[in-house]
Amino acid sequence: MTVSFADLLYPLVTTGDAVGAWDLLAGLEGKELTEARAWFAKATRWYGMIPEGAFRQGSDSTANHDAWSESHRIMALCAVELSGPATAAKRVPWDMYWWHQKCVGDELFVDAVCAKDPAWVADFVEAASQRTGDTVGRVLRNIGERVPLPCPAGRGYTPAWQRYPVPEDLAGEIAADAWMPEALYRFLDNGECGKLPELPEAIRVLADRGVVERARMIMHILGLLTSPQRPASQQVLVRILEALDVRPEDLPGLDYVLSVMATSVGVVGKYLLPLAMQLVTTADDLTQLTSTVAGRQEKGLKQTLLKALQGNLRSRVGDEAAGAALAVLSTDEDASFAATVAAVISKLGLSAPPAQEQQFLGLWALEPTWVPESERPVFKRWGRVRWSALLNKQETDEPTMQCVLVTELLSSLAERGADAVAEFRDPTLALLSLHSVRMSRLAEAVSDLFLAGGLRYLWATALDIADREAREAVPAAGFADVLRTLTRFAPEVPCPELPYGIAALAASKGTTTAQMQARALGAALARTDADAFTESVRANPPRPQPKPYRGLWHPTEPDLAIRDAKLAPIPADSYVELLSLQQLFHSPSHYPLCVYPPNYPKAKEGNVWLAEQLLSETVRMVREDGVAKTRAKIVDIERTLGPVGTVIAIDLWASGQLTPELFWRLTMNGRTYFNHHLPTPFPWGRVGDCPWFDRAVRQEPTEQVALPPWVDEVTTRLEFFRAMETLLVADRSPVVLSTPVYADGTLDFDDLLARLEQAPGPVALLDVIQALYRLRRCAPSRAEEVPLDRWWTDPALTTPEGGIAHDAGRLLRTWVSANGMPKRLPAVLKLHNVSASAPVPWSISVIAKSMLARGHEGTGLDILKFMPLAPDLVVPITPGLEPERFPVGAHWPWGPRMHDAAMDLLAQPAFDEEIDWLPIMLPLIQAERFDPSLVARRGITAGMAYAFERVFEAGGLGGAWPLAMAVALSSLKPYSTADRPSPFIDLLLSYAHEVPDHQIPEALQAFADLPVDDSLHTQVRRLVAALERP
Amino acid sequence: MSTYVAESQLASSREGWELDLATAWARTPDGIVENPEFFTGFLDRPDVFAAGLLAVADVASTRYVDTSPIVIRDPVVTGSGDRLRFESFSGCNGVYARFDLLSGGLGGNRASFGTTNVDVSPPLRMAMAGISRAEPLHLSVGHDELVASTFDETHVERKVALPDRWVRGFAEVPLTTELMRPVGTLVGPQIGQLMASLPRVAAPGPDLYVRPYRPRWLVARTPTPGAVHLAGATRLRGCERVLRLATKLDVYGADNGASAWVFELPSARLTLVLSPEPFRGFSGEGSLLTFLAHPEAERLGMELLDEIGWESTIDPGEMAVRTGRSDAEISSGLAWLAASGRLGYDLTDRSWFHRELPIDPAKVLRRNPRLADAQKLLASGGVSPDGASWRVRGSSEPYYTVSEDLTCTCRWEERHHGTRGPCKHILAVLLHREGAADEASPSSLSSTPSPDQ
Repeated sequence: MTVSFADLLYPLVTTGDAVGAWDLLAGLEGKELTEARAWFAKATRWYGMIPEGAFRQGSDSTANHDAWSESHRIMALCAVELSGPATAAKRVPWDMYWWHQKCVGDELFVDAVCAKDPAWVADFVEAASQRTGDTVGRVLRNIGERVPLPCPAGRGYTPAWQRYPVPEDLAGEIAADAWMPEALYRFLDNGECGKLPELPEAIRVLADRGVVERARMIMHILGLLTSPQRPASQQVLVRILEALDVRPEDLPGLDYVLSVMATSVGVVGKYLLPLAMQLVTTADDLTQLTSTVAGRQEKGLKQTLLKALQGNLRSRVGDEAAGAALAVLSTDEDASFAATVAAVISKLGLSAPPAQEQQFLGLWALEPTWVPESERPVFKRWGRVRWSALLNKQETDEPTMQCVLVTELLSSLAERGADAVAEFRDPTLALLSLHSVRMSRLAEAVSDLFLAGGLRYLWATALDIADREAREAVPAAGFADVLRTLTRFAPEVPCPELPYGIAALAASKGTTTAQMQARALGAALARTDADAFTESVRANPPRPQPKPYRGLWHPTEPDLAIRDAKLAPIPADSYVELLSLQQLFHSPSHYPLCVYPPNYPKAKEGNVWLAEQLLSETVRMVREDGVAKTRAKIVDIERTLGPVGTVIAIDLWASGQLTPELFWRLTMNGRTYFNHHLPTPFPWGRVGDCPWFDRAVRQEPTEQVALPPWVDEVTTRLEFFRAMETLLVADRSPVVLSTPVYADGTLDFDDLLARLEQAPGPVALLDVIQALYRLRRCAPSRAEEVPLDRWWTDPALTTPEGGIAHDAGRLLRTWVSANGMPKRLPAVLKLHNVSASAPVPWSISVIAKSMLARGHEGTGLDILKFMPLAPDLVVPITPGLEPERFPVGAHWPWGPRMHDAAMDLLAQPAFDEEIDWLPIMLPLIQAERFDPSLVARRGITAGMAYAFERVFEAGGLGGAWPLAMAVALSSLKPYSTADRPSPFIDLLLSYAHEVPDHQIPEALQAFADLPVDDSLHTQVRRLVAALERP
Repeated sequence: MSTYVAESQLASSREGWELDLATAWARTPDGIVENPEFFTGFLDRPDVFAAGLLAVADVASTRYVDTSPIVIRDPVVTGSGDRLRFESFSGCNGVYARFDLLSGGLGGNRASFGTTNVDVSPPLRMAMAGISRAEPLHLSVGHDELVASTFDETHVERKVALPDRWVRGFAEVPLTTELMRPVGTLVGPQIGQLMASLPRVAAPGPDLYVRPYRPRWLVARTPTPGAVHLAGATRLRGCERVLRLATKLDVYGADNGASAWVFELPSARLTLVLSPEPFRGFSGEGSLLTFLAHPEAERLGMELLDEIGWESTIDPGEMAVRTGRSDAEISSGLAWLAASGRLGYDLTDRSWFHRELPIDPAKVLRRNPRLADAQKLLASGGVSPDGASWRVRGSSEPYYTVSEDLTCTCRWEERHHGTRGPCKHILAVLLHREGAADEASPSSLSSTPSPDQ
């Protein structure tokens, strides 16, 4: 039987025997060779079909990999020996040739190619250069060293000197290239020169040495610049021209230069403009050059041309042409540049161009359009869509977010009118106080808003923002863009008032871009020209308008109603509705522990205590209607979604099958199963339908009981157990002891005592313990008020074995006299080492230990439900707590950790427009826990300006002023060079007229008296003067 | 693809350069002929011609959606008597460029009639970039090649094949532009101001809305009343070559978001048409319905084809008088001709012009993938009448219903509401209605003989 070529090749390929394969190929002749060629032509998938395992000849993975690598070379050998040059170039697996590998087959492959006739080799090399792969260039160079060939033209060929790191003697290596000078031209043609910024200097050296012909190289580069090139390549190409010292006579003419300038990156235009100006000889030339420059964004080009028009260029083309060019430049929207051009025109004695016609669109009357949510643009990149992100220069600039926010704001304006302006104003002002506004983005956004119907609503706000920035000693970069935008729309605005800051900027001496633009804005509002306005504003210097007295000084305590709010009872008629809407419990919000911002999704869900209230309501019905009627009512409630925690317990109890025995089975042997282990769909319509329920009732007490996944969390399971226990005693003691009275999850001693009074029979142990953990502090002496031997826990539910009961009165006495858990908090707060001790026999704090070990987001808030008097537990496990999840509603006083976390939040670089910071600020101020020196030490004084402004505006001026003054004084000490007290002093200055007490802190006066003449001292002197007023 | 019988040759002699032009098939008023000569003569404004042709070539060599390499295609040139029109599409097919060299720029010469395409390679590009107003340029558009020569040198370029997607684009763009409304006009320095105000970022650039306003137009990123949608603003950079020469810019917008930018140049015009979305090219999908849904329009169109006679501007009113047909019939027939790639649309003249591609556009349109799917549906019995409507076999559902007014219940149609042409189910119904079930082949459509037949 004849063995085919493929059969012979297979073992050589799988063992990577390149030498064997080479011998096999060399031995082919006549019919065998013909058959092998025919087979190879068709076997395009043969190699790919070899199973991966075939290359594993033993346990040595290195050897196996080497064999696999050699197999690619064997296929390359086959391609060369069994195909024509073009096909061979295509069939060589170039992608599998790796730089770091040296294979036996490499040399064999080059030998095989070089053994062919020169025409075959030339065709092969040219075709191979069109392929891609890391080592195409290396292999082709090896071939080129042995066979005289022209330089390959394809991008696949890379010269040896194109490598990383760049050779030290790049010019020397290029000169030594066997394929020079063509190799260099091919390299430039392939568009990769942007990766070799050292090339221009190397080419200069090569031109000096005569290796490269200067004129040819220049023409080649000029040709390349007329075709599409990457920006980086354009830069290198133009730097080559620079290195070769190109002169006007080297260029094809002005039209060429203008054509390239128009289509290239700015650096090319910057280089070519001086050459172009030398080529200008006629008025028409200058017109075209000016049009080209005017069509570019680069201000430098325009300034260069403007300078030339005052000198040699004007003398060449004449006044008329120069005047026409200046007229074009004078139309620039940059008021500063336009003024400079106007000055040049005047200086040269040329006639001024006519004023530009101004159109009126009636934007003031245009109303914004409401866009349905489904039709609004969507931000497709990662990140939260909010103004504080879009306008914050510390964040990545995301222009596509602008469209989303502008559309949303316009819709809000259409819906809510001027009330919606705060969506934009508050975050922008907050950022402004931090000097973090990206002015160019603000200018664009404002323009979009004005154009689409927001002009009337937002003009005052935009002007106010600009005014605040104008008062800065050094306005932010891009501030002129904002003023330019306002100037653009000023003709549409009927109110000509220019606020003090901008007017002062316009009146001040100097010709900065911002000053010139401020004058242009004032002129546009006053419907006059800039010169007339400037003259007018200087003749009548603007004075700061005294702020109207608003009577903000109330030396009262800030309102703390948020923390002391009582929990509103659920409406009696909503019980059925609430119990059937189990989705409330799937992802409960932590409201009111977290005071979520408006529109925050979680805020729309029920409050965190709803389950507790439902349990309490169920027991109330038992008290009033009896067990049977209550059960019947619950069973009648249709439910399609899976209930959790408390609701499962209510269902279970309503089915009538919940017994103390089942209770212990579930508590002792319950194990949660996740969805993929449960039948689908899971029949939760009735608790009796649950697959685990029947088994739980019938199985042996020691067997594990399957619990649904919704009670997997330890907190949820505790809720479940406590609810079952409470319901099991409800027929004898229809009362729930632990239901929170206050929104922060706590209850008073009197509340608990009153509830105990309603318990004629046994009480539930877990309920008692939970009530103790929620009990607000009271005088230990009140412990004596609790009667003993009156309320006992149900022995059937206290231990599985029964027979033991605790005196609930004694437990309460012990707790109160020991001052309860708060005394133990320091121990509890040892992170991940939570104390399980408590002054009672059963400690809920053990669940904190379990949950802290898991430590995922929200865990701390869940713990807070069971230990509301330990808010500090929330903080250590939730680093980087999001502002909206900060438990501002937690029971007061906060511990040191909560305090520090609050300070950290307040010190965040960018305030969030959706968060109400007031509830965080107020408790800290009231409790005198706000450390003013900490503010300055952390360098966050500027950031505090906005937070204090909110407090002042909320009626806290009188209470918080001393603290604010302390912050200011601390900031005047050089704690941190990064701290910027200026915005904070500005804040105090703006409220100084509301302060009735004229006493000025000595330290402030001393600072003002220092013989230093800088902006901060000037500012402080103004503050002192404002406080000294009669 | 058309073929050449010889290579063009360029040689110098004592009198100057001597050019032996290669010959090829071309579409002319006389049908398919060899060695047609469209134009020869010196131009009035060589700089304008060079800049305009380079602009069209720039678009043809640019892909505005990414930086992947493209096969550079050749602009198409049409001789129309009093003008020469050079057309191209970008590599992504989302930008259409046309440079019209008008009668005032032809140096008193007249162009012959016909259409072919020309290659603008790097050497020619370099040569043309250096052409100035002061330097005489003798242009020959003859046979199958464009020759641009100065007194110093001459470059000869060879013609290559016309890609299918271009042909589909040629069928789509005229129908889109005909429906456009003028948005505004800029003159003189205002043009440069507008261009300078656009962000100079990588292609395709942001979607902008440009609002006419004096003294300068306003640019927004949010839809704005009265503004034209500039989808992929960087795509407008195809005009940069001619910007310094532009005296006027007319802007047009279509309801579907497409826009046209017509730059008035000395005795010439450059038109750029941008597709409604940067990542969606002119695919010919919108013209398909016109092409297939109106058999009567096809008949009218074929009859009018003999009447339009390579005119550079077609006057429907005059044609109605001449042929004795109603205005509606003329409009219907012309629309069909445009959808079959035989007419272009000139926004400035507000008129159609005749342009016969040197291939059979009907064949290309029939190769549309959606149409091929529709043919498969039809051939496999996937279409059945259901009262006044049709049931068409669906992919995610057993069947979809195509109503009498040609709306479909499929998700694609639900998403696009006909803005992207008919879905394959509607196309299948159209074919069924035509009675083309058995044929389902291009032969059922009228087509003119082409060089590749």
